[in-house]
Parts: sequence; structure tokens; C-alpha cells
Amino acid sequence: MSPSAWLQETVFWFFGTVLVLAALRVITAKHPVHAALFLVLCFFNTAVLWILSGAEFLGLVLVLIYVGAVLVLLLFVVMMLDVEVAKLREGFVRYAPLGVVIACLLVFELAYVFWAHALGFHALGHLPRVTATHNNTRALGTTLYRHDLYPFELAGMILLVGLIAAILLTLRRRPGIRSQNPAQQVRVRARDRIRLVSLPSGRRHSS
Amino acid sequence: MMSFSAVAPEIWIAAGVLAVVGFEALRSRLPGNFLKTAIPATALLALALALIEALFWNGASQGVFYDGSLVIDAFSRLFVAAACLGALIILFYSVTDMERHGLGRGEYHALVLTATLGVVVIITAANLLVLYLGLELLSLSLYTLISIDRERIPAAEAAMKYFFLGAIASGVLLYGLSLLYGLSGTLSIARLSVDLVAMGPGALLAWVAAVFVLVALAFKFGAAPFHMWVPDVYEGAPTPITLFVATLPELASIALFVRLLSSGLSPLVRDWSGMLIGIAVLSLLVGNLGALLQTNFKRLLAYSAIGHVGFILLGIATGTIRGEVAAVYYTLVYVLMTAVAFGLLLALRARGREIEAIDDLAGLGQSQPWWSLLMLFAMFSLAGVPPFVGFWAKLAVLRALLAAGFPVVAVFAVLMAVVGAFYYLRVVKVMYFDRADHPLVRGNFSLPELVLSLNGLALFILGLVPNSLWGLCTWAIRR
Amino acid sequence: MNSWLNGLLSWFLPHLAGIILVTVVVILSVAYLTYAERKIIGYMQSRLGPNRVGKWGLLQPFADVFKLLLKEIVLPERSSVILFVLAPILAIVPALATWAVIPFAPHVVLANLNAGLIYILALTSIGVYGIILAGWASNSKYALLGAMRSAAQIVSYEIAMGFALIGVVMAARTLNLEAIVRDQSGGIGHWFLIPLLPLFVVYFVSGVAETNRAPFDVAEGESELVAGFHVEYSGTTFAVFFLAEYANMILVSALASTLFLGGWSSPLAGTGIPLLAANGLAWLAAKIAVLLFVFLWLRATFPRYRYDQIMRLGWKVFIPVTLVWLGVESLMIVGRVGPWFRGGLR
Repeated sequence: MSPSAWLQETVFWFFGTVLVLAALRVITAKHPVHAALFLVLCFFNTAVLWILSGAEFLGLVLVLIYVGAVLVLLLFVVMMLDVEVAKLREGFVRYAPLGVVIACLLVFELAYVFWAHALGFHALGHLPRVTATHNNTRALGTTLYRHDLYPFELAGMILLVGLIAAILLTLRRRPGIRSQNPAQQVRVRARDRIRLVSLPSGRRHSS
Repeated sequence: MMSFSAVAPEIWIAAGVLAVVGFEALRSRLPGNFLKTAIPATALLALALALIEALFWNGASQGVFYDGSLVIDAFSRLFVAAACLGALIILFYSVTDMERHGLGRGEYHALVLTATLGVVVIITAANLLVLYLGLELLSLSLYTLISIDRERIPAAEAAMKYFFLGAIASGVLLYGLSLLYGLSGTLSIARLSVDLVAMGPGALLAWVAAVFVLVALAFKFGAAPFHMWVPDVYEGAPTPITLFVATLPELASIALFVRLLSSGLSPLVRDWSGMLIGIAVLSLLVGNLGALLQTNFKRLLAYSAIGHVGFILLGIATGTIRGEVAAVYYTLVYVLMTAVAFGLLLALRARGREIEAIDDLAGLGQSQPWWSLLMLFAMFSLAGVPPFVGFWAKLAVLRALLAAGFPVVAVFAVLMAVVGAFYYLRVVKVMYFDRADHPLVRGNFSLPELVLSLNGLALFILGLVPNSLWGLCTWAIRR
Repeated sequence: MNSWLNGLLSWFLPHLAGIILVTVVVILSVAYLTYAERKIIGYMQSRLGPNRVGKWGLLQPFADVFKLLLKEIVLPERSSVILFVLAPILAIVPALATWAVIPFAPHVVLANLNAGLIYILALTSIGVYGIILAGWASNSKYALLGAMRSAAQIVSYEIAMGFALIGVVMAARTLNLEAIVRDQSGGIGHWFLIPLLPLFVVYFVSGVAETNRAPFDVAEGESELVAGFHVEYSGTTFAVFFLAEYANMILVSALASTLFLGGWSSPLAGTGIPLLAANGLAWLAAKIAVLLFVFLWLRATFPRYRYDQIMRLGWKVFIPVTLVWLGVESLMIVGRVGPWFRGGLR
């Protein structure tokens, strides 16, 4: 095994292990802030694994979007809330059987997928290895803006709907709020506010 | 192939959305009266332009476009035109009502347009990804539209219910689609069916995928046993929104079935036909028996919708071209009838008659003779009384069932139609024979009401010449 | 086995050496940036600044560092200890790691990434965690308030910053920093500063806001929040936060130089003047120094923005400005304006 291949393998196993452990801690962590931070760790490790398999653009964008934006906002909310952990766990026993059933189903499906080569899964299994000169970003750009232009624009429309919906459902215009208009503030000149009155000076008040 | 003319209806609708949002963003700087006319006018104009584009799609723009993202065929042409026309009429009916209840802001128009865009995208989808995106566009718009009157608790409840169940259904659909992608390695619906044929019958995974897809589609259509959201949404949403939710998404749903099940999964017809029959029979049962118990008029129409969906699904379930044509025909007719029923509720509301319970209709025959007559048309047509167009739709499905060899199911469907006739006729009875002291109201027709009247009369006229619409549907489905 | 290890080391050691070299240089620069700040602001305010330790006070930064290192680290009671210690590390790591993709001179760069610009965006977006965690783990209301302000501020300005960077990407048609610099080489007329002036201003001001520097330092806001997110920090941990803030200043200046001012390329290239027309690290350093001076100048000049004004500036001024200018830039690209967009659409 060449040194760089060995290094790749080592990096993969290290970050893969951390990823799995962090994922476990996301669900077992007592405090929601800790859980959110473990989720950050998860995303970070996932990004490393993606980069390792040649998808550097996607890996970096994962960090940028999820770690840099989504989870910051999530943390922002979680820190503001005083979440009662005990209350969150109340339903655990009641829902545990259902969870176990779903988990079993998922494990079964996963096993099925692994064993599915025999059953006609021919799209899986051969991920093409990219060469070092392959430009991921360009490939993604070609896909998004040429081949999948139409779905891409549609995704934009969906985001627009999300935006409209969020504003429609949450924006409340309260009447009578006082706020300043910076443009107006800047435009103010001294003569609008101050009136100079020339008082006759040098004379004593007559009492 | 890149072509702007292939997506011209979509472009006009999207441009309408952006224009409306732009108006809304400048609300504080534009005069209020200007906005009051400009926003609805923009939305209506966008839909009208889209309709014109859809009607005049020429032969050159037939085919598959944008690397297999969308397909323009006869079905696309008929249904895109129907969707644009439907949205146009519905918006026309409801603008004044929304305005009067303080809900007619730009967001409403923008969301109606995006929902219509979603419908159009689903209808023309040639690719699983596009199909899913169209569905999400439609669903997200609908969730928001239902809760547009955010101060009203029932509306919020209905929207929450619809949202949670809808999100699960979307997930289920996505899971099914991802399995299909994994099986065939292609997102193209046309190639999918070829690959599935090549795989041969009895592939377990394909069957699992078909189940997932079927469940999700049944949910989106509001078929039993996935119908729980329908009555709540119909009752909870403001009436103009109910009008919208009850009509346009049905076009999208039938398009989903035609595109995904009848084309993409056609090799698996043996697998899904039986399941679909089961769902349809259950829908007929739940819809018609449930409707018997209702006292609220909108809930009654909701259960009747479930029953009608049962009929439509029976047409698809036959797996024959004839059944598909019947289902498509039934859907168009159903949308026409429902538009009349809910449009009438709006027209009556404008004249000071709020209809919540069925008993609120009492004495309508004396006080509002014209609207009562149209309501009678709608009810007779929904019940399937000849010569109204609803009768021909039921007949078409039953004949397709018999031709495909499902006599028992056909008999059951007839039985349920008889049960259904009972509650529709009860509405007519309350309207004409129950006494209530309402004075005779006369008033001038507004333009939307004139259109509504034409819409109501169409139920009768199309019933006299059933072959015209039938011919169109046959043309749309031919392969 | 031995040759295998040798192979690994010969692959590994040069990289490690480069990393250590860059880190040490950055840390030394930070030390003298603090000195420069105190001197420059001193002169601007008609004072002398530090002048006791060493000749002209030149050893002052070391005195400060040793003082901080020798001080006790006070852990607040009922704080979350691990996160409390982790926070300053999270603040400093991105500030140092980003240097990996910055080209120092032609072909001199630690990692020549294809998606270098995205790497920078990704890493700078992580820096906020240090501040948020510091605020939360301190178990103090001032710290928490500071952290909240900072989080909201950084997330808001990141959008404008990202859009400004999109302008650069559109002009250079690559995410690779080396290529971006090469695109701008050939004299001052080729710099992206000229066609993208509004984006440069937005980028630089957003950079000031992202580093929580005056006049956007509401996260510290000593008049209302004592010292904001690092109020509970002392000794080494405080020193690390301090280091991170200044390292980030240098980083923002370096990025602005690389993206808009031609990085290592000489403004006089093509004129034939000996020495001055040559590309090289010195030009990058000079550009960074000028921008750092602007940082200090801003601090000495402007009073602190109010919190809501900061948010307004970010959302309602910068984002629309960048969007409009991206439109203008698209037109320039289609019209093949100037030496910058000669390539046109590709």
C-alpha cells in the first residue's frame, strides 16, 4: 500500500469512527445544546469523508451551509429556549416499541440493499473514482445549469414559496411602532431643527 | 433540447408570481387602490397568458425538452390548458371574497400562482425528480394557503394536519422513487418502464417501490384509508381556498397517476391494479357512508370527494387505455362540478347567506331561485342523475370496469352511487322543501357570477353532448 | 517497511514544515499588529502609545503575552468546562487553517484547491462557534447576550460576503485562488477592485463586521455588556481569543488583497520598472498592511453602531447592493468590458 493510500485509509477510519460515535451522542446527549454540537461534529466528519471520496465541493458546501448557517441558527434557538430535558423524554417508553420496529425495518432494508446485487440493483456498487485533475465544481455546474436546468429553477421556485409562506405566517405588522428612518435622519439639516433667534443683547431685564 | 416555447406557460405563471411579490414588496410606496386592482389583475393576466400559450402550443413544441425533464404531448396540452383555465376561473370567483375578508393580499395571489405552477409541472413531468419537485411546489403552496387566515384555529388545525400527513406522504413517495431510481438507474419515466420490462415480473423490490408510490399518491388524492385530512381541510380552510384545494390538485393527482402509474410503472400493472382496486373500493365505502352522517355542507362535499376519488381510481385500476380515459374524463367533470358547488357558496356569501350546515340551505329555493337551480344542477350532476354530465362520467368508468372484467366491483360502485344519490338529493330537498323565512333577493350579476352561471349551465349542456369532452380525453390519452 | 515509512514522511514532512512556518508567521504578525494598533491609534489621538518595553516599545507584545500566559485561568462556577476550554480553540483554528489556500507568491501555496474559495467560506463560517460556545458555556448573562448578538451578526453578514465573493468568481470564472490572482496580474488596471468596487466595499465592511471589530463590536460592547462573550475568560484562554480576533483581521485583509487587489501580483507589472514590477510576497504583504491600517483607522474614527443599525446595514443595504452589482457585472461580462471580462461567456 502506498503511503498516501495508507493515509487515506487511516483518515477514513478515524473520521468514520468519530462520525458514528458523534451520531450516537446526538441522540443520547442529555442537553440539547450538546446534542446540537455533536451534530456539528457529525456534519464536519461527513464533510471530510465526502472530500476523501473526491467530492470536495459538496463536502465544503456541507460545512458552509449546515455547519455555518443552519446549525448556528438552530443553536441560537436552542440556547434561547429553556428546554426541559426530562419532559422531552417522557414519551420515550411509550414510543420505544414503535422505534424498535422502525429500526428493525431499516436494518433489514439496509441488509437487503447490501445483498441486492443479486436482485437487480445495478446502479449501485460502482462509484466512479475521479482523477486528481477532475474539476468537481465544473461538473456540478454543468449538471445544474445545463442538464438539470429545469428542476434547478423549480427548486428556486420552491424556496420562493417557502419564503412567502414564512413571511405570510409569521410577519405581524403592529401599528404604532416608532422607528427611525435613517435616510431621513441623514437628510436633516441644522436649519430644519434649530431656529436662530436674535435676541437684543446688552439690555437689562426690567423686573 | 432547450426551448422557451415549451415552458411558456410555466414562464408566464412564474413571471406573475414575481410581479405580485414585487408589488407586495413595494406596498408602502404604492397607492392602496392601485394595488387592490393591480395585484389580482396581474395574477389573472399571468394565468390567461399561460392558458393562451397552452392552447396554442404548436406541433413544433411537441416532444421532450430540457434533457428529458418535461414532455409536451396531447395529455400535457389538454391538462395544462385545463389547469390554467381552472385556476383562472377559481381565482376569478374568489378574488372579491378574499378581499372582503381581508385576505386578498399579494401573498394569496402569489401562492395560488405557485400552486398552479406546481400542477402544470406535475402534468408535464417526464422525470421523477421534476415530478417530485412539482408535487412539493404544489403541496407547500397548499399548506400555506389553507392556513392563510392564521387567526382562525380550525384553519390552523387543518393546515397542521395536512402538513404533517403531507410531509410523511412526500417522504414515502420520495422513498419509493429512490427505490425505482436504484432499480433502473434512470430518472426518466419513459426509460423506467422499459427497464422494468427488461427486469421481468416478480421483482420484489419493484413491488415494494410500487407500494410506496401508490400509498403516497393515494394520500395526495385523498383516497381512503389516507383520507383523514380531507374533511378537516375542506371545513377548516376559508371557502375560497377550499374551492381551490378541492379542484386544481385533483388535476395534479390524476396527472400523477397517469404519468407515474399508467406510464412509468405500467409493467407492474398486475402488482398495483389489485391494490388500487382495494383503495378505490374502500374510498367509495368511506366517502359515501361518511357523507350520510354529515351535517356540515363543506364536510359533506369532502366525503363526497373521497367517494368520487374512488370512482376515478377504479378507472385507473383497470389498467386499460379505456379505463384511463374514463378516469381522466371523470376528473375533468368532477372539477367542473366541484367548482360550481363551492363557487355557489361564495356567491351566496356575497349575498349575505353564509352556508355552514346543510340546514342553512333551507328555503333557498324561494329566496335565491337562480342560485338554487344551479346548486340543483351541481347536486344532480354529482349524484350522477342523467342527463347531467356526472352521469356520463360514472357510466364511462363502469363500462371500462365491465370491459376489463371487474363485474363485481362495478356492481359495488353502482350500489355506492345509489347511496351517494341519497345525500345529494337530501341537499336538494332541504333547499326546495324545507321552509325558512328568507325574503326573495334580487340583485345584479357581477362578472364572476356570470361566469359561474355559465359554469353551472355547462354541467347540463355537456351532459347533452357527452361525446365532445370524451373525444378530447381519448385524444389526450392515445399512445 | 523502512522505505515505506520514508515515503510517508517525505510526503508528510514538507507539508508539516509549511504549516508550522505559516502559523508562526501569522502569530508573530498578530503580536506586532497589536503593537501597531496601539501605536497608530495613539498617534491618531496625539499620544505616544507603548514606549517602555524595549526600544520604542517594540517588545511590548511579548510582555503582554507573558503576562497573559502566567495568569490563572479562572473557570466560572457551574460553567460547562469542556466547552468553555474548547471555545477559544474553535475560534483560533479556522483563523489559522484558512491560510492553507492563500497564494503567497506565484506557485507558493500550501494547498492549491480547486474549490479554494468555498473552503475559505466554509472555514470562516465556523469561526462563529467559538464565540457562541464561549457565550453559552460561561453561564453568564452578559456573555450569552454577546454571543447571541455575534451569532446573528455573523450569519447576516456572511450572506453579503458570499454574494460579494460570487462577484469575484464570476469575474475570474474559477474558485481556485491561485487562478484568481493570476487573472488579476498585469498591473493595477487588471485588479477586480475596479469593476467590482461596490463588492469590494461590501466585502471589506462585512469582514470588519465578521471579525467583530469596531465599529461593529457590539458582541463585546463593553459599555453595556462588560466584555461580551469573553467576559469570563482570563489568562491563556483570553489570549487565544485575542489571537483569534487579530488573526482574523489579518486573514480578512489577506483575502481582500487576494480577491480584489491582485494578491501577490505587482500593481506596476508591465511597466518594466526593476524590482517594483516584479510579483512576489512583498506586494501581498504591503496590500495586507494597507488594509490592516484601514481596520485600525476605522476603530479610531467611528463610534460603535447600534445593534439594529448593524442588522439593517447588513440585510437592507449590503445584500441589495451586491445583488444589483452582480446584475451589472453580468452585463459587463456579456459586453466583454475592459481587461477583466475579455473572456466573455464561456
